[in-house]
Amino acid sequence: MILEEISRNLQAGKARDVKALVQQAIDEGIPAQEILEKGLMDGMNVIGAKFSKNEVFVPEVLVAARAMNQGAQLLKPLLAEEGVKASGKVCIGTVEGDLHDIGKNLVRMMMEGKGLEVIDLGTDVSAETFVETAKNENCQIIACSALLTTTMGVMADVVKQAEAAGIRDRVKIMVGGAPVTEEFCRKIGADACTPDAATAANKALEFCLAAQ
Amino acid sequence: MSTLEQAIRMESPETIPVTVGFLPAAWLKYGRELQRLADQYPQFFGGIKKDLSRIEEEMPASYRKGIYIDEWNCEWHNEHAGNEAIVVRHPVKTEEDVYSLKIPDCRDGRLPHGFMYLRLLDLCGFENVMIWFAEEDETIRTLIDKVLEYNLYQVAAILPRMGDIVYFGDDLGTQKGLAIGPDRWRRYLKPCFRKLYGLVKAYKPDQLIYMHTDGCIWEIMPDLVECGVDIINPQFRANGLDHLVQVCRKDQVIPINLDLDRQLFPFATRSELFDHVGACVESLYLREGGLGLNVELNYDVSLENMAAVLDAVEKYRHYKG
Repeated sequence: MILEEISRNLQAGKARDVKALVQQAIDEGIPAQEILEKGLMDGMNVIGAKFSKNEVFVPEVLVAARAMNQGAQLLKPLLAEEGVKASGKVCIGTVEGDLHDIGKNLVRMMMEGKGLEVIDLGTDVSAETFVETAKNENCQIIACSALLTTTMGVMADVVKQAEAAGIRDRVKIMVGGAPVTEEFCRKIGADACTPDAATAANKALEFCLAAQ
Repeated sequence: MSTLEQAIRMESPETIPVTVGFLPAAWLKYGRELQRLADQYPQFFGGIKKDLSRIEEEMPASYRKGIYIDEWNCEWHNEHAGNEAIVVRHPVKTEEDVYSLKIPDCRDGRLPHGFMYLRLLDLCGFENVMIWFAEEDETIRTLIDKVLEYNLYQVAAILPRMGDIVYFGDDLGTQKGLAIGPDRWRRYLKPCFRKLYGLVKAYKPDQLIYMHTDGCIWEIMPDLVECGVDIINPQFRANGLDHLVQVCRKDQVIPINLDLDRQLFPFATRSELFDHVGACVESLYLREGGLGLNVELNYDVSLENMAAVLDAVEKYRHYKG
């Protein structure tokens, strides 16, 4: 079946083939949402699970994400026409004072692979920017990354400022990065700290679905 | 012969060697107080007197706040003076750029931290490099060959002036392993390290090679030894004590200068710091040697915790099993 073929080609990172197959599926009259969920997202789910188990590595994840983007571009206008909305909205960034973005970018790709809309705020992002974005864009999740122990404190500021802005009850705050532990996450009052990018995306989707 | 050299050569050092480093940012924050602390531990600092008025001046360019362009034309940005900068503008943006990339002319022997694997990422950006690794075509090989060629010149330049131990540093791991996976690392990067370190050993067969690498790298520690590394400086947290014990003590003996958990130092109590150092030493100690303790302290560690870490390593460096 063509959707399985899309998933298989996405897992192999064959962007051109994925794009052609998605177009073919559209031409065959398969609803865009079905192509997205049973073709593209299915493929990214397999890649994410294999990544968590160290069966594939970052290069495989990136070429799969690139293939997903190619296919998703074709589906975007159709999804809008069908009135299909993303499963949730996340704003993600590396905290103020920290310019490292490799981990953050991987998490973003995995979250997009789960059908979440992700606003990437980049690096060196202040607590105010995280909270204002979450408030203005109606995000269900703020995801903060840090590689340095010296910048982890900004994550605590994000939690405090989300409380002060009155959005804490409708926004989950996820924290991650090499120095971040579950204990630290609990201590600052954040909601989740996950061991890798794929698990972070699963957790984000879980939060978003629970909020619906 | 230093205790570190004895530890590497498995010649039963009297104490476990300890290396302690304050990042320049810590000197900038604490100044005289840090000097006073260093004065209390001459066994680690050898009575050095830091010229506090020249700290910024003496910092390497990549530790200064602002922008710095290196010999490969990578643009480094630094938000906080005294911490290491990060490359945010990569000169190689396309596959065509890889083929037209010229290696720098300098042959001064400078081999900065991140000279081989990280250099690929600094030159081209993480995502480009990962995609080229996935495609496994000529682009990634050409890129690696160019960086290797430059590094071979630089290693050749240091051969006549190597000390007892020659130091290399390149962060090969991420939090959960090698970004490209161990098999791909063995195919593409292991041959580079083998050539580079082979050059050192060909020049002086008993030369000791020390390699620092951050990240989760326990899977390739035996490979690094095969490449000619005599002692590895791995991180405690990224690798986990169990993996280090398995790979460096049970499977074979690999000398390590263990990077104690710098991500614990700012947050731990004094007793937690003693427990941490104690657990590492008790698990990895060998009477013959093969163990050193490395402590890196930054400005987010309180002076009290710095003293606690130093007291803990002072206690455990005398450990005899």
